[in-house]
Amino acid sequence: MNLKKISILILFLFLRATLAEVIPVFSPHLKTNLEFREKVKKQMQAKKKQVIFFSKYEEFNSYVSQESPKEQIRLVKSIEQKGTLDFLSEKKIKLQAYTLKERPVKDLDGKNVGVVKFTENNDFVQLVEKKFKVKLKQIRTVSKEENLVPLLFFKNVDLIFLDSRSTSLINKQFNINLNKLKWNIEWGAEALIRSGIK
Amino acid sequence: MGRRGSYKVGNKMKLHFKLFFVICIGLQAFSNVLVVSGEQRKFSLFTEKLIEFGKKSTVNYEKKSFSRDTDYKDFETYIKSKPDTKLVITVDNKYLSFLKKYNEKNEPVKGISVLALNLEEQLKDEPNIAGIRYEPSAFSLFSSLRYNILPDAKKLLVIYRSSVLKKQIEKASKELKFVGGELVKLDVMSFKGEDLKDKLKMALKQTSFLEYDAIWVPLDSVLLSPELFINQWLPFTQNQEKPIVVQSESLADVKLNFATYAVSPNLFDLADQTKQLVELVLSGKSDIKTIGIEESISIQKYINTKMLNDLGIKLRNDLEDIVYLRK
Repeated sequence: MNLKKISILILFLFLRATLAEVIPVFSPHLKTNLEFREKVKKQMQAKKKQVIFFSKYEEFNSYVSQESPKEQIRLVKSIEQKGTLDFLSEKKIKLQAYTLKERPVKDLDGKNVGVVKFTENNDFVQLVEKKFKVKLKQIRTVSKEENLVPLLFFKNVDLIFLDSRSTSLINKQFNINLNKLKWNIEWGAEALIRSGIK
Repeated sequence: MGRRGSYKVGNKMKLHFKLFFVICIGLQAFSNVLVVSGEQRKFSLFTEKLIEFGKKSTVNYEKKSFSRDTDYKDFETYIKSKPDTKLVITVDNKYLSFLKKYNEKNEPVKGISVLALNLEEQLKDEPNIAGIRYEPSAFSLFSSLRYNILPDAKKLLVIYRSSVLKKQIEKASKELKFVGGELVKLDVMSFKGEDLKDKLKMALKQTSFLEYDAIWVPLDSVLLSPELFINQWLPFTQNQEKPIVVQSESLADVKLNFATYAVSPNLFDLADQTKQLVELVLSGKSDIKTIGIEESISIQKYINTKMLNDLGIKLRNDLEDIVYLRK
């Protein structure tokens, strides 16, 4: 192997090592959660690591399966989850139930619910059913918050659970007033985890 | 029975339970779903994603891409060769019409139609096929237009043929009203003229007397035929001061110089929406009749930046998930 080939190989390995430091971050509430985004950026910069943000779970998941990064930041169900390296959001995400004011919902039982997809095995139904002692009819998931509104408008669901921080933006975007319902649930937190930890 | 005996019985029960569980999973894995499409590259992202999603579920998706010259007989032979099929997903109008014909002649197979135009007409009195509309709703089109490029938009002028789109336009009118908009209707068929060319010419002239913030040209292959497009629509666009919005990204191509803003179904999310419908039907939580026709929930937005500049509309820098069409 001549010197030229060796230098190309070293350069290639160096580039690969550098690229491997990119940490994918999944945050479905990207639009409103700018504070969190800045916090992650700062923390990772201090560790000399780059970040790439994803607001859609499936896109994040595709990236993770293709690139197999050493670390990733995503939502975890429980803040006591084993193997978590660091928690980046102190508070759990508060998901508030909303509907359209023209279609009031008095009872959760037997209802169709819409929510943003957070994880592969969406256990949101079990959480809701356990907390409110009801049986939901079906759950429909979407890849981002703004898609919850058409889901609600076209009667695919009776109510939606939305990050309460996003409500004003969603109302502005569609020129509507979502009607806040009495049910809310805390769901997960963003954490830095090593690949392979479930 | 001693302690050891009860331990053995317990273990046996566990084994039986495990076996039962494995058999159940095995049975579920036979939930075969065929995804039937042509060879269009355009829609391959949809089929690929659906197959990918299927790998993580108990539904086995099988993709079949037919060549261009496939006729009904090939389709029928293929479906008959898959007797375990629980559901067929047809991609585009051609395969939807094949499935309809198949169901007329054979024991009906349940189906979900995607990426096919004019589903209202296509699925009329069709008990075994549900569908997801290709054309994004007026609700999504207008809300996203207003949010992304025209914050003060209120009036959307639609130029259409009532003979084919009457119901859709009535529905669109209600949707716009809900989000504080107004649909100004211009029915080409209401104008006198010997042929469609004359009628359209008069309708386009009429626009100068109307008040509107943007023009919506719905998908209508006759009204947007190559001849009418070149001789009527394009000259009309050259003098337009308001943006034209469409439901197909190809009409917002920079080279065409026609539409400023376009929306179409987000194929990635459409695959996820389809997967959810399949699971609802196969699990018995919902049925084809109840589903009927769904809207494409997630849309992909396209901005023709050249036309936007020509119209003097400033592009915001905080927009997300937009495809910018440039030269």
